[in-house]
Amino acid sequence: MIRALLLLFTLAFAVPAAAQDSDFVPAGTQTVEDIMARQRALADGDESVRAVRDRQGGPDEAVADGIGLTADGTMGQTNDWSDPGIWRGVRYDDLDMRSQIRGPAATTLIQTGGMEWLERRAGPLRVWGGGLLFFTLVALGIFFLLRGRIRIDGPRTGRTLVRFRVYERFAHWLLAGSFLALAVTGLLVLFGRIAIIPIFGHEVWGPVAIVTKWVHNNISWAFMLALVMVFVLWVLQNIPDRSDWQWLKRAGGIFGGGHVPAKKFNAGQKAIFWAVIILGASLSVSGLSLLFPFEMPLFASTFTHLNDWGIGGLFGGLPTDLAPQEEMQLSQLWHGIVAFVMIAIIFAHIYLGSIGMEGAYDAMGKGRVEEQWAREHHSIWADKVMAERDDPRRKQTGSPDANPTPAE
Amino acid sequence: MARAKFLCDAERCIECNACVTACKNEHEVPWGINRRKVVTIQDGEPGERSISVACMHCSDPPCMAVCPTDCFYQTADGIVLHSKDLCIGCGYCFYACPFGAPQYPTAGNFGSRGKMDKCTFCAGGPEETFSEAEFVKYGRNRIAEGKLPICAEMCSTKALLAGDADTVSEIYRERVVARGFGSGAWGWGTAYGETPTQAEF
Amino acid sequence: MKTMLSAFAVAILIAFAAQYTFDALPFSSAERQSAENVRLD
Repeated sequence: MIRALLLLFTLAFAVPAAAQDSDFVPAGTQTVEDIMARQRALADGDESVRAVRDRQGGPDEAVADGIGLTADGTMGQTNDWSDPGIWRGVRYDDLDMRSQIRGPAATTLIQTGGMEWLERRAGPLRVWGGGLLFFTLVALGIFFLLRGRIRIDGPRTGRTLVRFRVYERFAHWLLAGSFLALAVTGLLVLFGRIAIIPIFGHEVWGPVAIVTKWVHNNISWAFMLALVMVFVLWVLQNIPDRSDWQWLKRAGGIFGGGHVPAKKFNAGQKAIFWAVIILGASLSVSGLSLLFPFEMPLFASTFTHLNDWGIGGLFGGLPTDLAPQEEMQLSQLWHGIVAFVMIAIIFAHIYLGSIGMEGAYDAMGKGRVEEQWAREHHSIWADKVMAERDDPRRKQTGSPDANPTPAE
Repeated sequence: MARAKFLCDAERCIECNACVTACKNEHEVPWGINRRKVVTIQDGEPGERSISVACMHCSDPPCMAVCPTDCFYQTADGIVLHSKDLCIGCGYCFYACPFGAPQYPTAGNFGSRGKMDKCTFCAGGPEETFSEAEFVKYGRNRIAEGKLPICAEMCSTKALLAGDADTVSEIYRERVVARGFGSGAWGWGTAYGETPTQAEF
Repeated sequence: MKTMLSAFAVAILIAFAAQYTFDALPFSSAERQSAENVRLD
């Protein structure tokens, strides 16, 4: 109690003393009159007042007096962190920033990459991507009109060869089914706003978009699993070799010129295989980065490598200091670009595997192909399989491809 | 017609985070979601400044431009609002936003990220004004009650200003002239394409 | 045809499994907030 009274007593004297202190004006301090006079002079175009320090002593004297005068003579911070310095640092995200908020990118005060990103997404990605798909379909249509269906030339034998085992076909259809679902939903997310809202309205598109997003996010796991399965199953048969060179030189006989010998997979199929594996893996990685936002930034490190290898220089040096949001923007753009290329390739694949070539669908549909088809399109493989089948000394556990029992 | 804007005076903000707390309380924002954040630059070093940030209600909002379901709209006062019925939680508005304003409840992964939540300038949303649905989805509609955003209303140092753009910039201009330093209202160039002190500096 | 349809069915099954797995993963904004690096000073 006595202590509290003592404190009160002391404070009662301290307050007027502090007030007195504030009246004390050290030499060189700007007063409000000084500031207003300076503002009026500047407004009148009098530039001489900018050299305030000449009249008030330089910043060194100001610091010695303990007064916060910056280099241009205004009050404020007595260090290198001038206003422009701070705002530049904020703008380019190179200052130490902290926040009590723990959300993703919480300490990124500003990023303007989003404006460029959304324009690229709405402009070039839609126009070039959509254009690519459109012209691929047109080209396939023209090819069909000119070349027609690629028929089995020789007489059908009625005998079949096992081409794909049940687990191979399962992996293929898991990949194909999930890819189609992902392609359709991905295109919907990109084009829904300009294609569906004008026709059906916001209320229809909203719920459809929720389903679209659900399918796209969750089916992706089936796609990634199937991609691994397909890679493991077929990678050995898809390693390029000399026979591919012959096939490529004659363009596979697609434009006439007879049939070209080929192993189980011809050079065109190998190209499709590697395109699917590489583009699919890239899609999976950028997709995972989008699936787990801000957990898997990809581009700053990729760009650093590209710059180190000199490739980045071709693009005028790629940025390596990216805001978290900018990583996500690039993931989205890359995901879209790769997806468009892959969809275009798959269009051609679907065409050749269905209406484009007689007898081709059976390989994946039933697992067994007409012997004559195999002789024409995969002669090396067909000869080997038939030789094994017809070999009387063939062991019970021969090559699975030679097994004459139906797959199903 | 008024044009609603936020302005945070970095020379005054003391990082008390009361704006964040008041906002959460007023709108009963769920755990883990902060419609407003305070970021401190050069914490503990000379030149330390703090800035309170939320949706700036941009003149030409990038979120509105990028949204796949077109769920954003801008009121006559320039307040940017969105419909949680249309939002699919894709996260694109967060990537587009210069200020990191959109927030997502429930989960951080793309798969189950909930519907986006952000500062409404205390103006509710596309539900019947003062309805239960409006409060649950978007928070209190103080604008309809004739009040300004709670974060700025209770800011102890009046660092955070909210209201009509002309009034807000006038207050800020007077401050800058009077103190002779600390100009450059943070984020105005990006959000509104202008600064409140352009005429002076 | 049977293989194709069963593959499609498995794709859908995987999708549901993924959905429920991710709901259980600690990625929510609330869990981020309570991470051990939260500054309590």
